[in-house]
Amino acid sequence: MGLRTRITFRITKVKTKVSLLPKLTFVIYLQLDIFISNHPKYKLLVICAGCIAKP
Amino acid sequence: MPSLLEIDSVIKSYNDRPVLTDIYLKCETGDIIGMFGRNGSGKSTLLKILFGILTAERKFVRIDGKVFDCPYKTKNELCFLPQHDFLPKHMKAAKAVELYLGKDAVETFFADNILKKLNNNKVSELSGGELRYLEIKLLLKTESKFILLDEPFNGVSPLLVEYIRGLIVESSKAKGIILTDHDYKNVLDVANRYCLIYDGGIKTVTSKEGLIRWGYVPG
Repeated sequence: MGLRTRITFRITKVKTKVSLLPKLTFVIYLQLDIFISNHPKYKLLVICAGCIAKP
Repeated sequence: MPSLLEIDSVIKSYNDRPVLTDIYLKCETGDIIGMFGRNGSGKSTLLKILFGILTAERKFVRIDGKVFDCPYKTKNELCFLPQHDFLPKHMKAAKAVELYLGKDAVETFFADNILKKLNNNKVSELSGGELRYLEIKLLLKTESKFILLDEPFNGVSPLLVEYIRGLIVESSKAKGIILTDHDYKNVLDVANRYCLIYDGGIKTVTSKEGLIRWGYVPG
């Protein structure tokens, strides 16, 4: 179980007042993860696990 | 309307060692099936094959007569509690419940003696028993027709076992449940049907004497 995946995001809109784009870390849960395979609706879940604002 | 889960003709080997040979098992709404077997007999393997996360040389899983290759890909049919924890550690307990059951269900979910003060805790901050209870309750509260529980009582204190047993019995009114655990006394008490995996096959047992006869429990 468990599948590591790399995804690249191109951020086109930022709704914060940070002038420079933040560096974001996402955790991606796929259906092979039991958390998602048990979920009543989701087949994929992306959670923002951290945000490091660039200086 | 009652539902029927069937797993048929299961054959599974590990490195040419046959573990399951032509297994058939059925579970209906209202059933609580207690599955026994020695270590390495194939109980967890069977549950994983049933859920669809482990391949087998041969298997047929049917729910209400419809064949499923990977039942976990079809929502609200089957849920599976593995032996290990499955909720993300960094997530708050309340968030996990919200993601599964919706925002409106969170308050009611945590309004019991075990969970009442834990909704703001992260999953990693819960004790092993609390987390086991949370995960079992979460799965039993989903709308899935069938729930597979692999060692639900493992590492859980006697009081929590009582609560878990209560949840299982209550949920079985609308679901079918298959559970396996080496705490055979609690399994015998909570289940209404029993089976034993022995030598790759499945045997029906009706009491502790049957478990003694097949060498699972010392006589």
